[in-house]
Amino acid sequence: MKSLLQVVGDSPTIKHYINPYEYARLVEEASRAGSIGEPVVRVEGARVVHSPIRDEYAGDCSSVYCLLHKKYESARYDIEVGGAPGKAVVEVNSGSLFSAVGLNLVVSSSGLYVLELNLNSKGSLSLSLTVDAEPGSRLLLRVKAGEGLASYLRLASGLGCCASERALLVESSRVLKVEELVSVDSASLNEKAVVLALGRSVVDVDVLGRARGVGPALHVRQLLVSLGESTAAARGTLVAEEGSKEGSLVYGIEALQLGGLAFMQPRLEVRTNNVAEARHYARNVKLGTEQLFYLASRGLDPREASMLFVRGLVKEGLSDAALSNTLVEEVLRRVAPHLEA
Amino acid sequence: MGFDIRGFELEELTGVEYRSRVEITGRVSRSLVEEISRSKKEPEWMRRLRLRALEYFEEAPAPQWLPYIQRIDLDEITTLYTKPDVEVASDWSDLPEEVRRIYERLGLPEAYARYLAGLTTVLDSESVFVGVKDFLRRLGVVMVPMEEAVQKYPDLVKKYFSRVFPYTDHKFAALHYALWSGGVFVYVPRGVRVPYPVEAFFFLGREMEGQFEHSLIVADEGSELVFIEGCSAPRLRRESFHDGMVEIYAHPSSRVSFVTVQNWSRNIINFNNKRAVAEEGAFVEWVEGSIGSKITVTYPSTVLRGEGAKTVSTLLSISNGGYIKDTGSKVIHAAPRTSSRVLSKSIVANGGLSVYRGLTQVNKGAVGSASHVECESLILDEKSGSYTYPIVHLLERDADVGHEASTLRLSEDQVFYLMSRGLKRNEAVSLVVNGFVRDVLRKLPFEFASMLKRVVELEFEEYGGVG
Amino acid sequence: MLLVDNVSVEVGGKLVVRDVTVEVGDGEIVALMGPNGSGKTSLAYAVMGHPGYRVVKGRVVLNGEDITNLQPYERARRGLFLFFQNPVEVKGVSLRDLFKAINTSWRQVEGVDSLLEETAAKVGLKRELLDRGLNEGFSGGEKKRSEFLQALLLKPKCLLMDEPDSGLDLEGVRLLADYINSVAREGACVLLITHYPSLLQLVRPSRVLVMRNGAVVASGGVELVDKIAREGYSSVVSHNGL
Repeated sequence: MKSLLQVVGDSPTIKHYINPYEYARLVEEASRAGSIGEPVVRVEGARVVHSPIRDEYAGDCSSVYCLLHKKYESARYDIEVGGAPGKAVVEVNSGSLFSAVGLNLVVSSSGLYVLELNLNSKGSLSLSLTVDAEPGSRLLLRVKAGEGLASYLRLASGLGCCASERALLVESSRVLKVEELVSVDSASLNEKAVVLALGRSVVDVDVLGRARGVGPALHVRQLLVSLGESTAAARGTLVAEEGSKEGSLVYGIEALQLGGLAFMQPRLEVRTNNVAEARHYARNVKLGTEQLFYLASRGLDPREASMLFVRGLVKEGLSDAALSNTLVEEVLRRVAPHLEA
Repeated sequence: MGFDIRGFELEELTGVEYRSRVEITGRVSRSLVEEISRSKKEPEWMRRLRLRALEYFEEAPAPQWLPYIQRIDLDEITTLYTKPDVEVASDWSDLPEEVRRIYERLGLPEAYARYLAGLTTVLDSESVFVGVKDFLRRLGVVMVPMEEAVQKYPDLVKKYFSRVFPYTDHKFAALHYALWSGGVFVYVPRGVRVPYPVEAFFFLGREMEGQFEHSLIVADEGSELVFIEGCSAPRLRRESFHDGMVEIYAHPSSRVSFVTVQNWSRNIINFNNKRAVAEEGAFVEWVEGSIGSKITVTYPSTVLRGEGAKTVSTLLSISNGGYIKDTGSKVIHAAPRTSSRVLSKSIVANGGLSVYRGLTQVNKGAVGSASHVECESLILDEKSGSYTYPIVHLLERDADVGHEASTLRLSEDQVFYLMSRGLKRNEAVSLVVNGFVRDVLRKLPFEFASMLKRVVELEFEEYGGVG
Repeated sequence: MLLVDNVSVEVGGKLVVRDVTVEVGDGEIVALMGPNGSGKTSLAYAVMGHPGYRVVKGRVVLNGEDITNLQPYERARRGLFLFFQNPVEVKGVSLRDLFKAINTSWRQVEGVDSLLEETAAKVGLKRELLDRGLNEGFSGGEKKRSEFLQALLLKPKCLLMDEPDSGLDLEGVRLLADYINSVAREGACVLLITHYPSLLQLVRPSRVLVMRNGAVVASGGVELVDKIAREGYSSVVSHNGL
């Protein structure tokens, strides 16, 4: 059985998402101008080692973005995180119009680990991140992209065993295409992603998840927060492969529109009847008048009520308290100034 | 070091196999289209519309979004078009085997079965037929074959024809407009409420169907109509590509229900374009039961253009065997306080595939709108599959939108429970399946519901299921 | 002390409360009765400051302060508490989350976690409901118990109770009655909206007001309660206490 997704290029609704051909044009222009450079990667709190550029890319690399990355990747680094201090910061800088770098992240800690990835360059950055995490690890990956040219982040990971939980916080003030590829083989992954689109940004997160083997579980929950005049889009496909048994797929997207637009496409392809659970949902969330009044009748002003509500939205889906609290803190800190009455 | 973007045909989405475009061979000649128009004695504006549509069809790129069809031969299509009787069954024995089998097993008297199979246009009770037609005429309801409407009510038709679904929407809409033939035109005057469901096939028989039938329903202010497209089973012998269309225009405060139960023969690729525009306070309901055909591609859609307009879609699709049902509903909320509900259920077995494609879009300014979409698929065995591809576009935050879907497998617990009450396995499966479709059956007029229920039972009676 | 002074309330342009005056002194329990749709809940909502319920005439005074133009949270912080008849669901926000926020925001509650659990046990609210979204999937009785728990923790000075007893079993009603009587004894003012005879046998109000079509059509002492229980509302409406 193959996927039957419509080719987006033909669809009249394409205009709401990031146009891959515009991105390709941007890269071509950079190439013509001779401004494709090697980014400078600075890491704090972890070991980093230059690594040879390998040709294979985990998972599918057939999109325009990935193919361009493959063509222009100029450097790769292996980053090992684990143990104390529980946090590492990776800064990626570049003076060129376009640069592409690959990072292989190896997480050997089984405790809570926060990795902050800051895309600082004003030019376009194409970043391919492979995550190899130890079973039982709890990772919070925080990606910050300031204002700049359209950029690309690819996040690939595969789990061959056991249960993992992870949180992803993507915060962007620029046009950012995120592709997440994850496959679970007789393993389980519970992921919560919060996408904060700021200013005039367009953040388009595309997930491709495959579940195979026995008892695979892939639970992806995304919260889109579109602030200002931004657009937050979440789409993707979770697949229960043929031959998989007792799989469990949950794909949920919630959109909190605080000024911006939201687009959601949580797709499911169930290619076998041997699934324990396969469901998805897409809905918008907001604090309604009655709920606001209820919380106000308990003494909370509109801002406090909104914070409480957002806290609930962010927490939902994560079972690990430390991971969930950390994610909540990070999100609230960023969102608080935007929560007005 | 640059590259040529124009050569870049690839997907921007990951993990999707690159799909080739449909190969279209042969051609539809201008003279054929002119001849069609001439033989129907059409006014100039219709002839020109056909030709413009043909031009558009020729210029538009072949779509990549028809994943099931590799090749379409226009020569073949037009041959069928010009010589339909050669390929059309006129006798019970000419009917495709599985169609005959179903009717036989439904235990219908042959006369009724022949009627349902479209071999005769009326039942034996002529008087009933005449009586109902009279009644509608007295109400002022216009219900005539589409061609007749173009001639008899040109101004009325011109006002609405192709306004709901322009030929520029996609290549096959254009092909449809170039070649359209058959279908029904219904006009319900202001304030007229047609008290019982109207079954079009009853009146129009063969006129209703064809490869490119075009139906146009206009409900004037405050009117009400329940329209049943009929259970016709086109009797074409060769695999063919059907490109039909239904346009509905619901004026303020009108109510239109459009019910289709399709059990077409297995050599048909059923591609249907259905769309409605609902003005202020209007209500449009789509009820669709897709059982037959080799491949069905249809997305009944509604544009909620007026404040307070509502739409409800209830879809049921069954793919028992290597057939594909690619269905769904599209709703565009383009005015404040509009609401939509979609309920879609699908059952797949024996290598069947169901695909749900839905769009819910809330445009800026459509404040206070609400939408709820619920999809459920029942997969009976591991050879079959179900894909759901919902799209939710929120351009307005003051709205309440939710889409939820789940895919279920046959509950062995339920089957076991029923078997422990003395039912054989296949009877138990059949009962479970029936329970699954109950919500949808509730929406159908009684005789359709009971027939559909029986058809579902028959479809799954022989189904052994897992183990 | 709560004074509702000749108040008229509009909802969506329609007048739902007309020229109503109610005074509840400290330590007093005033019962507000009347058939469904008489405006009792609308009045309670308006006193609490719901944005959809506009006070178009008159004023609301709490402990000498005119609160007519204050936001609902400002009124809550001044000791006013509304016991909702049908509390709304707030997904993702649990009782525990709510009280942690209140604790940080405007009212310190010592040992809030253990206090929550003790109080839940006291009112008969299952412990796991403390961590579920507010009112999410709660039964009618559980919703009332949750409101009760909140009142116990917030210790308000003035309570607006909208049918606090509906959905509670006899045990629950008894607990509630004990609570109402004891807070009144401690000096709080209570405006009690109720239908049910069982609560009014245990909580004897000092005054009873009957509303109909948005206006107060009868008022009197506690004997009105028994009369209504025996003979229905029509028996007291002609008794025009205004």
